[in-house]
This record gives sequence, structure tokens and C-alpha cells, in this order.
Amino acid sequence: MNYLTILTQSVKKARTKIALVAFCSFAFACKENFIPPIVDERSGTLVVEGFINTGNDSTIIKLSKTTNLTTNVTTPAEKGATVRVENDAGQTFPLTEIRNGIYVVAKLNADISKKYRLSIKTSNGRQYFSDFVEAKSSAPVDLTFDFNNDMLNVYANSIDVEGKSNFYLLTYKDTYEYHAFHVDVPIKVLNHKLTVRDLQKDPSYICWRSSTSTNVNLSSTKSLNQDKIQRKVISIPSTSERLAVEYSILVKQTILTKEGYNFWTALSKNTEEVGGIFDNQPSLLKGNIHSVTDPAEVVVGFISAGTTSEKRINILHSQLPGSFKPFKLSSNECKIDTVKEGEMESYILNPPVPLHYPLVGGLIAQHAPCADCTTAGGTNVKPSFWK
Amino acid sequence: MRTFYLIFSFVCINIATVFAQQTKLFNVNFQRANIKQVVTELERQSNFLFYYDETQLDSIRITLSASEKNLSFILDETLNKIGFYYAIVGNRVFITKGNLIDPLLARNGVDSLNQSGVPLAILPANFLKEEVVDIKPIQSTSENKVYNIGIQTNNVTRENATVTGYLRDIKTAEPIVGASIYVPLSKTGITTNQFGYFTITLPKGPQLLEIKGMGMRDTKRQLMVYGDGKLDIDMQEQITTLREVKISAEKVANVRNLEMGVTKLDIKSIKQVPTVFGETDVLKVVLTLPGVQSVGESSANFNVRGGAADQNLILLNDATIYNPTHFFGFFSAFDPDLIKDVELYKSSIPERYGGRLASVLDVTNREGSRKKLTGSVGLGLLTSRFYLEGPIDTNSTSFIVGARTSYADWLLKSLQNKSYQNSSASFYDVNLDLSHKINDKNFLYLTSYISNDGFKLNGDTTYNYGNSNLILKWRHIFTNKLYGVLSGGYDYYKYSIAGNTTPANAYLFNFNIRQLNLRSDFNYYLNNKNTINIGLSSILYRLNPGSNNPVGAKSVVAPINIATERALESALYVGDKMDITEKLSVNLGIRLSMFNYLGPQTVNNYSPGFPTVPDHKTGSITYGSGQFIKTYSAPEIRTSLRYIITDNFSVKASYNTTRQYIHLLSNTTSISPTDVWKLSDNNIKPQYGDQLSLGLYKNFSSNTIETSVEVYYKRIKNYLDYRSGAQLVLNPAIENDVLPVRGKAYGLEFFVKKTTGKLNGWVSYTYSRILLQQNDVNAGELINGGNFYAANYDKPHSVNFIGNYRITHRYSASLNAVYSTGRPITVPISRFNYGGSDRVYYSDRNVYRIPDYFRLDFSATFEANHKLNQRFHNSWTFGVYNLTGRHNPYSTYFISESGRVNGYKLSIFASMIPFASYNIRF
Repeated sequence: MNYLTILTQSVKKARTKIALVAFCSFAFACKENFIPPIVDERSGTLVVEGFINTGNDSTIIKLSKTTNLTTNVTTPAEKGATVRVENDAGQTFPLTEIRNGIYVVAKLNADISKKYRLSIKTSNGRQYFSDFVEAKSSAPVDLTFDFNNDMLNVYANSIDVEGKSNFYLLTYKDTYEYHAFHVDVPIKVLNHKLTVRDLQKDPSYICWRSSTSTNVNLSSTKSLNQDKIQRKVISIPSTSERLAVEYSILVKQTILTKEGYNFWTALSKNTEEVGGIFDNQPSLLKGNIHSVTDPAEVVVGFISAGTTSEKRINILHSQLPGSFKPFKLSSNECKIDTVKEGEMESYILNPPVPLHYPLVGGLIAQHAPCADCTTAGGTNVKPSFWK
Repeated sequence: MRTFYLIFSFVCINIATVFAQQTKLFNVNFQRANIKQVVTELERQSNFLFYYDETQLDSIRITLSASEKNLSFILDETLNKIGFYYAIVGNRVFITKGNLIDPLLARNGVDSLNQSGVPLAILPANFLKEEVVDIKPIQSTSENKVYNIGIQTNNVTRENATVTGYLRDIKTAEPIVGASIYVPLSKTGITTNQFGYFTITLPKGPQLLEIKGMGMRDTKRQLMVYGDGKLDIDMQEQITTLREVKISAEKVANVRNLEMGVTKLDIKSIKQVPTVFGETDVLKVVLTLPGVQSVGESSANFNVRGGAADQNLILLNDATIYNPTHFFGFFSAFDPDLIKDVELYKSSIPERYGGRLASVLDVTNREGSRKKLTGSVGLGLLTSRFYLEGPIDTNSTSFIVGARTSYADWLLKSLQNKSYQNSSASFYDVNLDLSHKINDKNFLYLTSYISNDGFKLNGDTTYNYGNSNLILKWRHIFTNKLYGVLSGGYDYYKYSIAGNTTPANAYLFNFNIRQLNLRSDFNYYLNNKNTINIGLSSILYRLNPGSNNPVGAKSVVAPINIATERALESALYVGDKMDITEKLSVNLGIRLSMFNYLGPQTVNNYSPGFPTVPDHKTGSITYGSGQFIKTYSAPEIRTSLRYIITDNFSVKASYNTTRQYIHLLSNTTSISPTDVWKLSDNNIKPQYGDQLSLGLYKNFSSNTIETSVEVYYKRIKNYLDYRSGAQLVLNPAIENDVLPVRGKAYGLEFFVKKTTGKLNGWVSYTYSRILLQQNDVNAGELINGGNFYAANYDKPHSVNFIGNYRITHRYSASLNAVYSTGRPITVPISRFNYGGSDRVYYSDRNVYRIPDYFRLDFSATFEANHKLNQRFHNSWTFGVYNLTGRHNPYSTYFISESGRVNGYKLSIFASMIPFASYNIRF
């Protein structure tokens, strides 16, 4: 897949969209939920995700299993496996399971000119190997941003003067600081009871929230005359809460082989752009991990190797154009409500009634995040990289 | 029966008259003598005086040798045999045509009799040969008149004569194509060709021709055939302007025609079918025929009997149309104002067509009227159109021009979303056709077509596609029995995409196909048992598979130009339509097709027997200009057979093989205009298909109800499927990404049609399957483990109903119902987490189906009035598309949204869509 194919596909997609919208203006219900009547769900297939980092960073391998489409449970981890990195020079590097299904080894500092593979022996005794893959080193990545169309856009820029990179995978983890409305509220709800809060150890006003990329961001420079990318990583609307105080993003760049690129393309196409009448048909997700015990067994995943490069930038609220109005909790959301003493407990104890936060003496209630930033999903522990 | 009595009474009159005669005997020996010579001789030998109208008799020739015969005998054997009467009063002899002068009494009934009722006694032997005289064609307009064909002689032999001529519309002088001429006496029939021309062999003597043409009033002609001759037949249009369903030219044609699996639709029946926004759409109506499917509602691409959408040869006036759709498939690219009729061949494909596997869709425009200037203007919700036709000089040259344009932009502009307001979409198409009659034997036709679609998305990606076609035909009539058509044409299809999202990425992508066509086609009417079609055709392809170039100085897009492909596709064909017995007819056809992939080109070679992937590449060879890189050739068999069991019941069988040398590379469910075509080369083999079909045809209620059952089995080889992650655009080695698959298709089609009456229309039910298989481990990855899998357009059950009810002559209502099994889809069967998001794992290909499809449409047409002499005629059409408002899924899809997998189905026309259109004819 190259750059132009992606563009032509975007045209196809747009075509569906345009046609759709054109006719939706006449029709009313266009898009409905659809759950196909599945008869042979295939759960329990091994899923292997990770990257053999031959450089200074840790190698993290995640083993999990496929699960039913219709259930809401998180995908189960494959626990208790024996996982090793091997290279074609005969070296092995054992990994240890640090959490359920997460296997790690710190800093391999291994020879990048060697080929690497992953060996997995699951707790039920089945042996799997990945193919030996070429280790690809990543050129440095730089980040730029602009403000366009009421968006903050962050771009990753990288150039490989040797022209060996060609296939790029970008992932990110972003973090933003946000605040509660009321400064330092000295009480909190714990186990359905009001308790006193130690604001030194457990601050209530400043929090940080992080998220990781969920879409596959691939680029190929095969159709360009330079091995150079300028790729949008994220676009954040001007009204987003993420820009309210300070926004930070860490972008990680990995170089893939052609096979790896094909795998990620198929993965992304199969789930991010499939099903439209002008979209491609789902393609076979061909990974590079095979079962020794049963060669026909399906294993999902593709293991790549090499080094990664990463870059972080921080964007302060003061750097934003005047037209940007990021969301902040205000008196609109944080209206003070009086709760009768006898009813207060039921508000605390019985979600989903909006949780009211008692402010003083149990008489005044608040929308929870107005008083305690941790209730909005973030953490009040300052990240190590925060200034 | 009544005629018989009248004839009988004539005989009596003659006998009575003769009885009164004296008995003078004559000795005569006339050899092709004219009337003057005969009369002079008879007057010389007797004292008779003859009275006659010389103009009535000057064209007859009399041959008779008699000795010692009386006058009655001589006149009976000569003039009476060819429809003249005589009356002998004293020594005066009156010779009349049509009416007998009764010397005795006026009799009732005689005056009203203007038909020839003279019984014919055929002489045992002919002692004279008739010369073939090139005479002017007889213009026949009357049903009651008897037209004499050939030089009139009194001695009519048992031999056959050939009659040729044209069927024309009396009002516009346009030829009537595909009309049937049936001879009840000999139970033979023929149809007129694309120029309205016919050749028929008849036994000499009195003959009745029954003529039926689409949209024309049924008529008949009475002939007295003396020898070879020409007869032009003028037919009248069905005066009722109400749309009557007529999908076949001839009421008995479905039973008697040799071809099977051929359906002809005239524009009137196409127009009455309700469509979205009231835009008359040829392709949408074709989709209601048995054996024709499509993948979705918005797609005008169609699948015939398990064939892929690129396996249809779509012709507009013989020019190849690569993209027959507008507005991404919502409309067809054919202008309904100009179309005369549409013919779909899905089973027996005549040997003159080739190059596509599944079907031929032949769209024919009308010829411009030679008699008067007419036109119309139509206003629809999304498009407007006009056409104009008329003579350029009297009776020899005429033109027809039509154009359509869309103004769909308002739809996009009216949307709230900003990105759609920056978008635009529009299309147009223009037809210009000229026809010129050089003389009675030479005719020239020039047809041209241009279509264009432009579409701009969100102000930064511009998209454009279009067809251009030009064709010049020269038709020459060599003799009564042989005519030929020589044609040359140029077909062009292109699309382009221009993007400028960022200056660094600005690009322009181009794709195009050009083909130069040269064709000669001859029809030789050997005798009444054999009609031979022979011809030679050549197509020179020049295909630009894609070029992508940077736009602007800042663009870092690397120019990519995939080398232009060239090829020559030629075919020599010959077919013989043979009537073996009165009941059994066969068509034996063979088409020798040859394909040469031509240089200049660099081609890759791979180890024989291995998949064409880089691992097995052995090298590449560069060929120079015009060098033959690879040649494929094979005979294609086109045969069909018909056996008439009873007058309205027949059985037919056909076996056809077809080859296709050009492939559409499409990995999407529906054909997208961004798909590219690829010629066969040394690595990509031609597609091959064969089909065996059998059908039963029976008509009921005096041929007003036609029924048929057809069953077929079809095999397909080398159809292209794609490896996972295939790159189809700008791929210099496409053989690395394709997989040849084989397919089998079978089906059963039931069809019932009522052609006349207040309620008319058709119902069809089709059971059909199309299954594909990739089980060659060597070729690369197996699809569904090497088992057969359903193609995207496999819809086993399909029911269509098209009905029209004529309330009065000015009001009519139409109802259209469509049901089909949902098309197959590949759905996710399990979920896993990868790359920070939940992902899905897909089932085997196409093992599930979207919900079944059902739709009901209604329309009503109101004609203002039917005064024939009015300058303007106008009509309104109102209708509702998708009357039940059913949410028919157009597609289903599964996407990861914020880390979760959600399944959706989309319905395009998810509610009732009312429409209206207004037409003015002048």
C-alpha cells in the first residue's frame, strides 16, 4: 500500500459519505446498529503484540486471547507463558511476566545487524515462534504543530537520508493537566462515607490525564522521492479540555519491514475502514507468528524488531491563539445545590443519580469533578516528565 | 371463412360469364409478352375488341403457349391468374383490376370487395425464367391492398423468391429495428436488423406477412409474389402515448426466436418503471430482469448470471462504454430521451460480439427523424435534459442531439456540514448522431457521445471521469441477399484525481484507456434455410495504467508513470442460422479471437508453475515497439438450437464459450470509478467462460401472456481475486498481487410477462448461485481454505415485479416490487485488543449475509391531452420510491471507535422518497 492508494481510498470513502449524506438529507434513519447473527464465534485465539527493542528501551510483549464479539468483557490475558527473544546468532533473552499477560525485558542492547524472533511457550505447553525479522533502526523524530481550522494539529517529521526506513508506524501517549472548580476541598467520599481529605498527600484541585493512540498511524515513503515523512499525529479541537492548562504529547516512531507494514495496514483497514460498499473487502490478517504444534493454528500478531525514537512536546494554554476557548469547569457546570440532610447519603450511595459532593457541613452538594479532579478520570500524581 | 365464400362466388361469376361466350379458338405463343402484344395478337385472330386501362397492365408479362383454345381459357390462364378480371360482352372484352365488371347484374358484396380473391392454380412447370430486374421498392402502407412483388407473370411457379426492404416509422421515417416479420403459410419468420432492413424468402404466390414491432401497431401485408423484389413497409406508432409494457418486439418471438436469454426493452417500458428522483434509468430497469443482480442500491453496475460487473460488454451504438454510470453509480450514463431500445444478451451471445465473459448490453439510440423537427425538454429534481431531432435536408440526412446536465450541487450546499458545503458534484452527457442516405444502397451513420463527471471533496480533492466515443458506419447493400457494414471508431475512458491537502503532497493522478476499433460485418441471406453472418473486427488498445505526478514546486510527490500497455484484439467470426426443418433451427457460430500483447514494454518472467510473486521472479525482458510479447488465441463457440413443439411452445438450448482479455482490478464490493483496468499479458491469462443453458417457452391467451423457464450452468476460469494487502493502483507488477480463481454459476429463471391489456408487466423469479474457488496452493494464499465461496453478488433468491395499470388513455400507474436475498459479507467473529484499540477478527470470506432486500415503488403519469396536432404535449410524473420506507441495508461495517468495536448498517434510501418530473414534447 502506498500513499496514493490511501488517497484514492479516501476518495472512495468520501464518495460513500457524500452519497450517503446527499441521500440522508431525504431519508431520516440512515445508520443503525448492526450485530450480525454469528454462529461460529472464534474465541481463545492467541494474540501477540509487541516490539523487540534491540536498543536502550524495554522490550514489552503482551499476550492475550480473542474473545466473543458481543460480550463486554476485556480481552483475557495469556498468563504464565515462557517468553524469550532469540537472534540468529543464537543469543536468547528471557522475558518476565510483570503483570497479567505483560512480559518484559529491560534494555537488550543487542546487535542491530542480527535478525530476531520471539519464542513463546504457553502454560498449556504449546510452542510458538515468530519469523526472524530484520532489526530496523529509527531515525530521530521531530514534532511541530500548527493551528488550523479551529484545531491544534501536531505533526511528526522524520527523514532518513539513507532511505532505508520507508515504512513508519507512529504511536503516541498524550497527557494534559486539568483542574477542579473549587480549590482544595478538604473532604471526600470514601467507601460511601464522608471522610476528611489530606490535601498534602491527596490533592483535589490539579490532576493529569493520559491517553494512548487507538488508531494505526502508518506512512510509506515508497512513492516519494525522499525517505521523509510529515505526518499528522493528532488534531485537537479548540474547545477541548485537553488544551485548558497544558498539553503534552510523546510520539514514538517505529520503522517496519514491508511485511510488518502490510500487517498493520490490513489491521487498520479491517477495523478502521471496512464495510463501506466502496471500501476494500476485509483481508486476511497474515501475521508472522506460527504454532510449532499445529501449523494451521491461527495466531494474531506481528513482531517487529529494532530501535524506536521518540519526542515530546508541551503546549501551554498561553501559546494558543485567542480564538481557542478550551473547556473549563465553570459555575455553569458547578452550580451549588442544597441537599436536605437526610437525602445526602442517598446521593452519595446511589449512583447513577449525579453524585453531589458535599462541600461544607453536609448541606451543599456539588457535581463531583467540580470539587475533586480525580473523579473525572485523571490522577493527582504529577507525572515525572511534568515541569 | 368469409373470404372463402367471396372467392367462391367470384369463381361462379367467371364461369357464368364464360358460359355465354362463343367458341372461337386461338393459337398463341406468348413469351413474356406485354399486354399490347397480347391484345394485338388476340384482336388479329378474331373480331374481339379489348378495353383496358393501359397503366394497370403495363407492368405484366404474359407467357403462354396454347393451340385451339377459346378466349376464356386464354384469359383464365393469363390475366385472371394475376388478379385481373375480364368480362366478355358481345365482341367486347373488358379487362379490369380489382373489380369485376358484371355485364349482367350488380351483385351485393362485389363492390366492397377490393381484395384479390382469385384462386390460383399453380402450373406444373415453368417454362420461362424470370429475369431479376432492379425495380424500385414498393412503398406499402395499407393492410388491405395486395402488393405485387416482382414482375407480374401469369405463370407462378413453386420456386421461392427473395423479398427485401425496410421497416420504417411512417411518421419519422426511422428504421424499426428488431421487428418481426412472420409468414404464417410457411411458418417462417425473421427480424429486421439494426437498420430496419430485412430479407425473407417466400414461396411464390399469395402470401401474408404479419409484422410486429416494438412500440408500433401490429400490421400485416398481403403480397402476391411473382419473383424477387423489394418492399418497404411503413408502420404506425402505437397512438396511445401511455406506456405499455413491451419488453419483446414480437409476441411470438420468445417462442420462435433462435436466441435464448435475450431480452429487449424499449424505452417506453423503461420509462414507466419508477426510479429514485424520477430519472429514467436504463440500467435500473435492466436490473429487474431475471438473472441480473447488483451488489447494492446505489450501484448501477450489474452482474449477469454470476458474471462480475466487468464481464459485461456495454455498447452504446456499438461504441464501448467503460463507465456507464453518473454520480457514483446512482444514475446511468444513457440519455433516456435518445434511447430507442436496449438489448441484453445473457445466454446465447451472437458471434459478432466478443471480449467480455458474461453478457452484452446493447443500447441503441434512435435515428433522427427524417420528416420533421421535434424535441423535448425535461425537468427533474437533479437533472435537466433536452433533445432535438429532425431532417437536415429532405429525406436523406437527419440529426438527433441530446444533452443532460445535473445540478446536484444544491443538495450538498444545503447540508449543514461545512466540508460538504465545500464540495461539489456535477455531471453532463451529450449525444450527437447523424445519419445520411447516399442512395438506396449506401448509408452513412455518425454517432458520438461524451460524458463527464466532476466531483470535488472538501475543497481539496478533485475527481473527474468521463467517456468519449465516436463511431462512423458505412452500410452498403450489395444485392438483395448481401449487405455489409464497415465501421471505425474511437473509444476513450479516463479518470483523474487531483489532491492538494498540503502543498508538499499535491498530486495529479491519471488513468485512461483508448481503443481504436475497426469492424466489418456481412450478412448473407443464402436461402430461406441459411442466413450467414461473417465478419472481422479489431481493437487496438492503448491503456495508461496510471501516472501520478507532483503539482507545484513544493510538492515532494515522486512522479510515477506505469508504462503504457498496448494490445491488439482481433476476431474473425462466422455464423450460420439454419432452419433444418420447419420446427428445428440451429445457429452455429464460431468466433476465432486472438489477443496480442504488444511492446514497447518490459515484462517480468517467473518460474513456470510457481506463483507470480517476487520470490519466483527469474528476470525481465524489454520488448521494442510493436513486438508481440504474448499471443493468446482460441475459438469461441456460439451455438443455439430451437425446436418448436407446438405453435406457441418451444424448447431451446445453447452452448457458448467466451473469452475476456481485459480485467478490471477492483478489490471493493462495488465497482468504484477509481478502479483501473488491466490488459492480459504474459503473466495474467485471459478469462475464460462457458455456459450451457436450456429453456422452455410457452405463450398463453393468444400470445398475450409469455412464459419461460431457463436453466443454466456456467464455468469461469482465471477470474482475478486479490492477495491480502494487494496494491492495485500504480503497481508496475500487478501479477504479484492477483490470484486467478475459478468459478461456477448456475441458476433457474422463471419469467411471466403480460404484454397487452389494461394491466401489463412482468414477474420474474430467479434462483442463482455464483461460487468462486482458489485452491491452488502454489498460487499463493488459499481463500477460505481452498473451498468454494460465494461471490459478493451471490444472491440466491430474487423476485421482481413490474406492473403497469392503464386507468384511461391519459392516466396510468406503475408499481415495482423487488425482493432479493441479502448479499454475502465477511463479518467479524471475534474481538481482540491490538495497537491500543479493540480489533476484530474476520470470518471466512463471504459466509454471512446482510438482511434481505425488499422495495416497493409507485409512480403515476398524467398526460395533458392527446390531441395529435397540438404543438406542445406535456406530462407529469409523480411517484414514490421505497413506498414501505424499509431500511434496506446498503452496506454493513464494523469500526473501532474510541477503542470499541461497533457494527453499523447503512441504508441509503431509508424512507419514502417522493419525486416529480415534468416533460414537454414538441
